[in-house]
Amino acid sequence: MTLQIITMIGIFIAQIANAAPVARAADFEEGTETELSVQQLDKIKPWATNSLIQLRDLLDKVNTMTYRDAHETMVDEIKNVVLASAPKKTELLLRFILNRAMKVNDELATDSNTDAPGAVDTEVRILRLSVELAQRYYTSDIAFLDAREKDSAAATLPYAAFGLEYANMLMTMDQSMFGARAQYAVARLVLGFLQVDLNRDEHLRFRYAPAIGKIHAFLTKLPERSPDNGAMALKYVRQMRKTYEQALALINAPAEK
Amino acid sequence: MKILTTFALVCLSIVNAAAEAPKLQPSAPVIPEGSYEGRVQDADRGKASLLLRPYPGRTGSYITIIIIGDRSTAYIVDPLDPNALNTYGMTPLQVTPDGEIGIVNDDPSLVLTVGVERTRNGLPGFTISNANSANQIGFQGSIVFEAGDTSALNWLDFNPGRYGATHGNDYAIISPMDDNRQASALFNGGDHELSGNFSIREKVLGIFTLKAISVKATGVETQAIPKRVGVFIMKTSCFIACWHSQLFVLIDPAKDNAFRIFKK
Repeated sequence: MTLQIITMIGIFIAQIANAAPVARAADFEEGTETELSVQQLDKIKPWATNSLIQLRDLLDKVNTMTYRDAHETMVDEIKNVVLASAPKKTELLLRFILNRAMKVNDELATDSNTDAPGAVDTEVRILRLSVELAQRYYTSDIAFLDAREKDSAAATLPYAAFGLEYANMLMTMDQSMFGARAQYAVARLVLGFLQVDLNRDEHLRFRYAPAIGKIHAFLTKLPERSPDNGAMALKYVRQMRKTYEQALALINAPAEK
Repeated sequence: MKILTTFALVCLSIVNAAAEAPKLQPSAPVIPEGSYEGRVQDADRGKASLLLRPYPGRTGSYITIIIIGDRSTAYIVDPLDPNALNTYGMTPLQVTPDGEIGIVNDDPSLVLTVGVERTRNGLPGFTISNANSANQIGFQGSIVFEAGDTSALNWLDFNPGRYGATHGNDYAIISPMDDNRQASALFNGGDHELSGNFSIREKVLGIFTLKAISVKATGVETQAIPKRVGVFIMKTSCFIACWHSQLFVLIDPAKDNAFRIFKK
C-alpha cells in the first residue's frame, strides 16, 4: 500500500510538471542573466560591431542567390554569428533575434512541407526579416554596452519593447504562412517569446503581469505540437491569435493609479 | 489510507482535465476541386467564375480565385469550425510590404456557405456574402452558385510557351521551370511597365509572381516587389464544337482590377 501511495504521489507530481509547459528563457537557449563584467564588455563590443558588418554583407550576398542557396547561406552565417558570441552571459538583443531565427527555422523544418510552393521562400523571408531587425537592435545594444561601461547600474535592455516588436514581426509573418502546422508552431513560439520578454523586463514586469498571466494560462492548455489535421490546427491558431490580441489590449490599457 | 488515495486520484483527474486542450474532430473536404459559375447579386447580375483547389498542408482549406469581369482576387478559404464544414472564411491574398504573396489582413472579407442541394456527381450549390469585417479588399457583395453550374475557366499548373496579348501586339515567352522552381519570361510590347526580363516563381499553389530582373556584373538581381501576379487558365469555348484556349492572366498586385490576358 505504501508503495502504491508513493507511486500515486510520483505520478501526481509528474502530471503537474507536464501540465505547465510554460516557456522559460532557458527553453530558447538565451540565458536569463543580464549582468556583464568589464572583461565581457571588452569581448562583446567588437563582436557586436563585427556581427553588424557580417549581417549587412549577408543580405547583400543572398540578393543574387536562388531561394534554396540563400536559405543555406543564411542559416550557416547566422549560426556562425551566434556561435561567435560566446560566452553565454553576453546576451544582446541582436543575438536574441538571430538565435530565435534559428529556432523558428528549426520549427519550420519540422512542421512544414518544404517541397510545397513558397515554403523555402517563407523560410528565407523569416531569416531576412530577422537579420534586418537584428541590425536595427544593434544601436540599442551598443547604447546599453556604453551605459554599462560607464558603470550605470540603471542601464538595462528594453526587453518589453523589444518583445512587442519581435512578436509583431513574427505574428505578421505567421498570418501569411500557408502550412497550418507551421502556422501553429510559429504562433506558439510568438506567445512563448512574448511571455518571456515581458517577464524579463524588471521595470515593466508588474505592469504587464495581467498580459503575462493571460499568455501563461493559455499556453499551459495548448498542445506542444500541432494536430495533423489542418482545420484543427487552424482552430488553435485562431485561439492563439485571439490570446495575442487580448494580451496586447491588456498591455496597452492605461495603467491604474 | 483510502482517503489519501482518493485525494490523490481526484487531484490527478483535475490536473489532467486542466492540461487537456479542447477535443476536435478530424474533417474532410466538402467542395470538389473545380470551377464554378455564379451570379453576382447586384443590379447587373453579372457572371462570376470561382476557381477552387484544395490547399495541401491545410486540410479542409482551399485556395480560390474569383473572376468577375475585369476584376480578380485570390483567397485562402478556411473552414470557420473544423466540426462544421459548411461555412468558410475567405481571406484575400495580397502582396506583403516585402514583396511576397500572403495574408496581410487576416480578417476574412467574404463568407462562403455550402448549401444543402447537390448534383448527382456531388457538386454543391453555395453562396458567397460579405463577412462584415474590417477587411474590404477585393469583391464586396453576394454571389449565388447554383449546384451544377460550372465555369468555362479552369485553373492550370505552370504552362510555359509563347503567349500573345488578347489586345495589342504584345507577347510573352515563358521558359520551362528550372530546378529551383523558377522560370524566366520575356515580355515585349508597348506596356512599358511590363517590358523586359522577369523571373516567374510559384509563391502559392497555382499563383506566380513576376519580378523584374537586372543583370549586373555581381549577378542577377531580382526586384523585391512583383510587377504582376499571374495564373495559368484554360478557357473552354463551345459553338457547334468545343475548343480550349490556354491563357496567362496577369493581375496588378496594387490594383485588383488591372487585368491583362495573354493567349497561347
